[in-house]
Amino acid sequence: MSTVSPESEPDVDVIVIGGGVNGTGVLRDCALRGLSAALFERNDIAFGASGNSSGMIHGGPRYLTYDPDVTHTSCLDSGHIQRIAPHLLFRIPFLVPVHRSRFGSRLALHGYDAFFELYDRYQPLKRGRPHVRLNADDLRRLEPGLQADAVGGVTFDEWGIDGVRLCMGSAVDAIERGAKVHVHTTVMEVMLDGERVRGVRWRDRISGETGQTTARVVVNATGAWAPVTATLAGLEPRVARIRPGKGIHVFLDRRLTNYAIATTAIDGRQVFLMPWQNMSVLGTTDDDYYGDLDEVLANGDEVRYLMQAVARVFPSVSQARAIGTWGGVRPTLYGWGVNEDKLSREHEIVDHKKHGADGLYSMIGGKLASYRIFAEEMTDVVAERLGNTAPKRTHSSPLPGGDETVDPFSLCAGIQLDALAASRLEYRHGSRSPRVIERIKRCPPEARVVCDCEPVTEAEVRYVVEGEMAKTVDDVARRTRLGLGSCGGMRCALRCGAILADALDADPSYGQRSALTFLRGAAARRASAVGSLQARQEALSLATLSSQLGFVEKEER
Amino acid sequence: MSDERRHVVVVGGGIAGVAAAWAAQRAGARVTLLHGAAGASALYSGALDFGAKPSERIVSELAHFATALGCWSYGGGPYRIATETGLCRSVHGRDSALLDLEPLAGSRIGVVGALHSSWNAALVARQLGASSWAQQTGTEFVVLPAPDLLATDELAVPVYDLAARFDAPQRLQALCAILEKARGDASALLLGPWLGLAMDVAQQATQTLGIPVGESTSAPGGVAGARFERARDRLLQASAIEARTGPVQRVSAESGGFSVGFGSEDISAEAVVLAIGGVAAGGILLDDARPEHPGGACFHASLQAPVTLELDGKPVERVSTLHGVDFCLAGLGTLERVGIAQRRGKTQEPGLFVAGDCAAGAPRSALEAAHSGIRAGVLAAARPA
Repeated sequence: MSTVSPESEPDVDVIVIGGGVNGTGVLRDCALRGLSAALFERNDIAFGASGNSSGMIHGGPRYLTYDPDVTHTSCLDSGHIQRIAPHLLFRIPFLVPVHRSRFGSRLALHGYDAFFELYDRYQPLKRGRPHVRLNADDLRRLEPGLQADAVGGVTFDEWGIDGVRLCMGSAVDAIERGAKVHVHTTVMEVMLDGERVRGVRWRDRISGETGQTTARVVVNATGAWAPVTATLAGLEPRVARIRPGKGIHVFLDRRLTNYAIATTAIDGRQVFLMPWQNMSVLGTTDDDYYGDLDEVLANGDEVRYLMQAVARVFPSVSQARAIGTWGGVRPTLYGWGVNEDKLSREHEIVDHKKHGADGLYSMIGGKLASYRIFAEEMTDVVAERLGNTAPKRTHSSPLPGGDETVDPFSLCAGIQLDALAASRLEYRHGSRSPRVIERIKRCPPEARVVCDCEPVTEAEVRYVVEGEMAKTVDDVARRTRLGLGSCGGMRCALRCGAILADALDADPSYGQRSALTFLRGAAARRASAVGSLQARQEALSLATLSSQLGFVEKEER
Repeated sequence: MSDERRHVVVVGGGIAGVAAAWAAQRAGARVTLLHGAAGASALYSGALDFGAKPSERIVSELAHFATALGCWSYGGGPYRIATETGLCRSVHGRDSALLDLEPLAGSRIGVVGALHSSWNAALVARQLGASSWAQQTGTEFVVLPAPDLLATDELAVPVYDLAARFDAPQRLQALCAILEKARGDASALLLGPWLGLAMDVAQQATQTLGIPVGESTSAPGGVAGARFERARDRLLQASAIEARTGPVQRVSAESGGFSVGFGSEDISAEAVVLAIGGVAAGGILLDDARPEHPGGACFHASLQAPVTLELDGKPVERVSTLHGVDFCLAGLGTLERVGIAQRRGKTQEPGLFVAGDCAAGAPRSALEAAHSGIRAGVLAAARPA
């Protein structure tokens, strides 16, 4: 350990800045290798791109033609992720319909067939099935809502994962192995001793508490925030340069289709409609982003671009009820003069020693499907620097909840919980769901369903507050999907606020404020997608809120 | 049999519609109320207003209406009510089953602990106890366990159904016996929003126990709206107002009156009150951006009528996009402000009046709906000078 001066023992070996897949991945890897580590997250775990992606852990057939290495790495790592978090997976069989066109639809079909022939070679790496060529009748039988003029199509097979739960799994596992995680805590400065990193100064954005933590190594895993984070060490933002690519998704109130449908947007980009948990999702866009990373909102143009594209092959989508949007910013590798879609999805580690900050590293680029290998590569660098030779285990050591399977029907036996609630609970918490059930057995009122749409019980809300660091209603929503269903939190946000305040032993007004913040944010995220059906819901939500709270601005007498 | 009375048709059976029908009938008109489907009134929480100082004009007529309806308390306030999430606030009118905390300041209020999805008594008691009102007045909230109040399989029964079960006389008796056992030294009892739909369960329990017994507000689709609907039906029957159910497609002006298209019939009227509700109720609709709506999305009334829609004092126009209103720009608050153009309940068409949430620029609370309904009913019943 010659590179670290032993003047005074630092608080931890490694500080990780950023609580997305990469940050929590590095934290967990460090903890598994016996390094002491602390993570600082300005907002919440999975607040950025990690929690706002479609969750596909695919090789990305999109990248196959110009970035086959990315496809290979992603497929390989997807297989590993599937092994460590089986409870969070869902299969996404895709249909690619080919429509009659003047360019020769037969030829197009042959083209797709040949292309997916190539992709099939990677499928065994991620437990995917080979593609199948379909005729027009097959297609109609599988998905009757498809536009009638399809001449045929192909299938391809992908897997998805809940990105938030994945990050939470890594964070919780790391904590249980001794790591510290500070959410809602922003790093104000990366402290240097001359040209060597010494630690960070931080501020808790909820309590206002400030402090410093020292470390031998600091990892900048802040995704799209990476250049901003670099400036905290006094470096130029370009040393951790990325090309921020905004991607949005639109959510519809139910599963409209049995299969995911891939199609082409007006500009030739590939977009999709897919069943996702208990709703449907349209995605995605990829546009250069210059706005505030803490406030990424889908706008009307983006929503309509996706709607238009999907309606062309699945017309009834335009009559479906859109209940929300997600916006995230990809930290794509920097490149000038290239179309967003053509940018590399590769990842790289920047050693800032050459910029005058020895011990500071930035993780740039990457994607959800290859986060594990990226985190492993980063931890390899850290371990080598610190002389740690412990074995790598993140590819085989299951995440919390992923070690055993649990039957939802046996979960809810003997208590006042229905099978749907139990199976949703099991999806989120896997083998840890009995811990939530234990709460209900100890305190039966916690069986009550707080959010009817998802559904989420009071016990689960308390579980994520006490065990998963949730500090606001938004945090609870991120972890449990409370309030993200079709009623938009109208029934549950205030209930959740009350439980939150109670569980945190805070003043009731804290819970109420937190609920209002959530409702305002959720309304802002929905606004760009509101159509005729959702308009009635929005008006009702506004009326309900006024009737529950009175005039919100009014001071209590 | 000829009827010399002026014929008023009221479209809409929510709070505004029933208030208009009641007022027009009292003012000497023959009234027909046409009621489509449940709207915002059927979903309200039991709090009649948002707690702001009521306008001076809302006074005696409204108190009469509340009495006639039989399920509202108005005029004796302000009242202090508790929500099912343990917040408390002040209102000028309330569903009578809601416990009024105001006269109980400084005392010990029992929160009855029954196991139900709408209710965590311990949590509600802690939240209410920590509220600034309770702190300032020294009011205490204690949990009173009453495990037999609800059956074990009633945990997930919707509040609406649960409340209906307490309408049964045996269940009410049992409730009183359980509360008697649980009450301890509490000076009032607060329950979840389950206290009956048809009968006044809260009042009966209050009489039996000799201390105030009441409930919290309900979430949308809860009991207060259902109770209003029952009360409305009783009121319409008692005042011999003709009420018919079905959608109204059209109101058109004809010489000396109106023709109202109701199903396959045309009903003629000398005056019409539109109380069709706002966007939440479906009285004002928003088009989707679809080929069958050329010109892009726009607001319009759910029936054809010689009215124009207004938003913030300006007529609603077609938007210059084929892709629908963008609420990022317009703001979701638009949905509560858009409505039929009117001036004190009158539209530009003589004899055609509006009331409640469908009126542009009017505050959207139950009290305002009732008030504007009464005003429109009186105007509609009056013969033009």
